Amino acid sequence: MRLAVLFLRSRLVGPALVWLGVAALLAWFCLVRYDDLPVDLAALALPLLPAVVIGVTARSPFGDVEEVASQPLPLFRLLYLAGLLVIGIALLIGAASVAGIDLRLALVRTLVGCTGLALLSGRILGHRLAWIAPLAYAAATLYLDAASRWAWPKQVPVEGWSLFCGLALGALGLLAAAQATPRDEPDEL
Amino acid sequence: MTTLRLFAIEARHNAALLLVPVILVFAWYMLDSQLWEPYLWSSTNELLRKSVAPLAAPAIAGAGAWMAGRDRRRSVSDLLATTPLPAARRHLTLVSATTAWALLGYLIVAGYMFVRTAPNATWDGPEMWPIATAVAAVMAHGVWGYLAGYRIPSRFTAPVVAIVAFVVQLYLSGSMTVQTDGTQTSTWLARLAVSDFTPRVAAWQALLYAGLAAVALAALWLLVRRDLLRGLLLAGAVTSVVTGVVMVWAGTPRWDYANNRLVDGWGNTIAAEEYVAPEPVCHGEEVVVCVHPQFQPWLDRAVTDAEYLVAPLQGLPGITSPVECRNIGFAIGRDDGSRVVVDGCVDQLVADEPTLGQYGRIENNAQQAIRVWLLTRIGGHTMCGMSFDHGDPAMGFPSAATCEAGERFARLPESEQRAWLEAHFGDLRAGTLTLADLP
Repeated sequence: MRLAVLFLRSRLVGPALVWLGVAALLAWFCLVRYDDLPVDLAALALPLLPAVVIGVTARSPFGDVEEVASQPLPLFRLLYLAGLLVIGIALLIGAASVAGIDLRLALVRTLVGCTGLALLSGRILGHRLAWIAPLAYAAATLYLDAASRWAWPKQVPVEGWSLFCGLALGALGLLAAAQATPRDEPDEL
Repeated sequence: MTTLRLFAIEARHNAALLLVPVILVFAWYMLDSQLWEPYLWSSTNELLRKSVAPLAAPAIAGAGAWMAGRDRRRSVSDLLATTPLPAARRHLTLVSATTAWALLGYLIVAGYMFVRTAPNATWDGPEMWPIATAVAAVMAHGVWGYLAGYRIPSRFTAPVVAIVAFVVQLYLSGSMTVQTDGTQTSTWLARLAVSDFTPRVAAWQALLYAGLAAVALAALWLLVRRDLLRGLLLAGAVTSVVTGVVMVWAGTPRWDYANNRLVDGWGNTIAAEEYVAPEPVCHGEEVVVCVHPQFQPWLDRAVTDAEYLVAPLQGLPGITSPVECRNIGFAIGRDDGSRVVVDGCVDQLVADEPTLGQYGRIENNAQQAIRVWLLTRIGGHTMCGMSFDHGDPAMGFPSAATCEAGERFARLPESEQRAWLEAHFGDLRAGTLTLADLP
């Protein structure tokens, strides 16, 4: 139990939960106040914040030292990130339900996919920079035709291909973040 | 000199350096996916707004927030506080070095686009206000990101700032309202977005972003040390932001349904600007094609296409010499490249003007079949094989039977085609033939 608590503290789970709540509030506010935004763009933009928050919390402050922990940590990391993702999904679904807009599946799909992108980006660039890949991908799909295969984060209604992309990226990201000790080399900057 | 050396050091050890390749790759992707046409200023100007700012502005906000927390992460804040260089100048140097990388990325893209367009474009020129707005917006995002990172030193600040900046720009540009007649139009808030450009408010938009950058800088300066001068600077910067927002709001045209007129935010009538079409450029001897001067680079090929289109009809009754092709269009295609499209010229060849339908398109099936044949010859778009609502013949879409008749005509030997045309072309143009009259 003590190991779990220390592990969660090292990942800043408290502030992460606060930010996930803030992201859900923002999503609710945007869906209610600015419901004139096309639904595909709402499905693209609103899950970005929770996705990068989860991506950033994958960072370990210990680096290689974690490799010699008394218990293997990959399972901890996987459960922790998956748990955070489930909380993010629940909050986003709650925000969409309260707003009364049927975008729940699209928001969940994009959140899972962008979280995966953030975790993969964090694995390569360091988790402080985990936000770059989801942001760049979202900006790239902004002017893309929604029918394009690359525009999966903004395809509404949700169909097989976009769901597959979201789930595949999510799974890859979770595995990547769970397997290795994330380091932050660009932190030297 | 010390400041310059410090700037060089800060620029070299800066997270924003990592963003330059990302910005360049993104710009290259945007230019490719949005089918940038480097011979047209209209295309270059539009993509200069869209190709960099949507990513560069929020990304530099994140980088600014990250760099602001660097001294704390490295645990050198106290050490730096003892250096003789004023803290404000140190912040200014770091934020300038951070922003400079994004500006460099933008200027590389803009410079490349200008160098490609300027020698080739035959009409119009670059729009400078959107560039000024984009530069000011990138600076404003960088400084606000830095300010956020300085005030809220947290691992979450950089990503939150970057994503919030992205979402705010997205929501601003997508801000719409439903008019009383049911149509959706952009609200004045959309004019605040970097990607938007309206000549009437462009200067105010640039002022707004420059003011936002100044507000953040003044606030940063004030946080380091409070005095009257810095307070006044902040007040001045806030004034320019407020002025920018108010003038963008006021300058955005809106329709006054009660009095049926276009008004600005103060209720003043906006006089309709008289559009003076530029003198078209014409080329060709047997077949003359006239285009807007910006399409001049494609004119020679258009004349060749038009001559090939008209060739089987030369000398027939109703075909004048020279033929002046009308209904010319322009298409940018990934596979075919850009070209002046002469497909629309077919209608005037196979139909007398009075026989054309409500929208100036061919309704008669026999005329449409010959149209299909002529377009097939030049590789034009026949619209055969596409699913349409055929209920409105005035739209000019060919039916399956019409397409089949046109393809059947295309398979005939040239001598038979010519013989049939010489015998029936007058009736065809008059619209008195049916599909049954075609061979």
